[in-house]
Amino acid sequence: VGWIWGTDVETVALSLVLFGDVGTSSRQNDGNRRALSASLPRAVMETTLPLPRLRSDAELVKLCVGGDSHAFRELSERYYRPICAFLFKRVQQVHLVEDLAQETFLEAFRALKEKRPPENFSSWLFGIAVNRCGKWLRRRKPALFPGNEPPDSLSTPFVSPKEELEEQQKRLASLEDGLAGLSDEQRTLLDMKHRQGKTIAEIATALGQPAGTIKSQLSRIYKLLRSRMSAEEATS
Amino acid sequence: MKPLTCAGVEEQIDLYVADECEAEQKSAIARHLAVCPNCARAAEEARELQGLLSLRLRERDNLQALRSRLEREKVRTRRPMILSLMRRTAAVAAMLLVMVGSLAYLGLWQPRPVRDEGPQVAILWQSDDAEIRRAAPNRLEIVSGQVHLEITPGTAKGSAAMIETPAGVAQAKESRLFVEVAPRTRETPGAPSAAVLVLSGEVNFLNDKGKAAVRPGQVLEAKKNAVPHAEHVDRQMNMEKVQALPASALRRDWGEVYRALKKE
Repeated sequence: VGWIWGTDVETVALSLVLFGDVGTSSRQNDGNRRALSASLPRAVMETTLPLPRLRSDAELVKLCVGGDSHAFRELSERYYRPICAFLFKRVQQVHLVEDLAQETFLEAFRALKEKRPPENFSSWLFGIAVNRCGKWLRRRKPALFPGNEPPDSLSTPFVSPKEELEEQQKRLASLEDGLAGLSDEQRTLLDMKHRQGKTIAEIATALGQPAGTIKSQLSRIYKLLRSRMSAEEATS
Repeated sequence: MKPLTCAGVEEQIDLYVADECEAEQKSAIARHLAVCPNCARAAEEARELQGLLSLRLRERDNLQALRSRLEREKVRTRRPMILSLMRRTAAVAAMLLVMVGSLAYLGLWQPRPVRDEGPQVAILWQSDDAEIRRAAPNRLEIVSGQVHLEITPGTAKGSAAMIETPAGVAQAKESRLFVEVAPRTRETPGAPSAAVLVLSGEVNFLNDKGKAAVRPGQVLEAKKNAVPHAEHVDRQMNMEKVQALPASALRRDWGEVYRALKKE
């Protein structure tokens, strides 16, 4: 089963099934490619075809152990986004997620440098992420709550990691679709707000527009994306 | 301020999550979220959306940062390899040490005795007032008194036994000798003196001032502050006769000793 996540113009970043390697044979690669083509947004299809040949996780891990740092780069590009989404679900803080993701990949890199290849790279990598997350959660001060009212986090129904990841992947895919449908101006606004970390007042100054206009534009974009994600969630 | 309705909160929820609301409006929304589960859920969704957006839009920068860290890590991993090798070696050495220590403590292992291959010094006779210190198997310090020594060569040829006296050091490979050390006393003021009578073999005597070779039948006199001087005495001299003499007879001038021995 394949899952696509990629809109970079030059490359297709593929985040394939977690807990399982990408196909190891060329036939499997072709199958994945077809599945990918079917699920890619049109805008992405137009900019990224033809798809590059995919190397399986196992192949890349083998190259990493042999000292090929480009192979690890490929692996990190493949898994960066799913790992971030996985961590975000748990810690809910963007900067912390970025730190934990870096630590996760560094730990994986060190292990591969020390010639300790895993049997299944994706589950192993997510295992590292879970450990990193656990360490951080243990360092936090315990939250106090009245005994007769347990916090929401304790009453959350159990969801298996695989199911959770599949759900995350769907949400990410719908977000990506939503982004693909935005205009350039709207993308610029999001970039200034979320990548450059500017406030609405700063964006308004930079663009020479009233702050109220920027506020309403951003509000509209958020609503659009949220409604898109909710709709896709409802259909699935 | 009037309490907000769900529609009003829904309108503002994204800006609230993005921390772009006025303080008054912010607290009004927070109050509403505390009592309205539907709006609280919407706030959660908005928070998730904005978090994922930030991660998505910063992804390229973050990947670049990760690549830089990996590059640095690649350079750094070389040194820890040496360190880890050293650490492992140290761990193995420590383990061996603990094992040997434990076995020795339990009496299961005895270190092999060191085989002394150098020359050996045997004390054949010594006067009652002799003071001798053994510095090593082939090293003897005679502080005072009279001593009859036999030096046998070890399996390691070339090295000599060292007989230390306050007036200098006698070196010999294979020999028999008689040494007398007269310490500084009221009767014999000045530097302590030593006399070496060689019965067989050859002895070299040296101190800060110089050195002298002493052959069988010769007696050497030395003082700490004077050049050692060897003098022929009598080739027929033997230690049995010397031993028979009382110590008081020997601790005099070596000429008298010689004459006493001749009379015997």
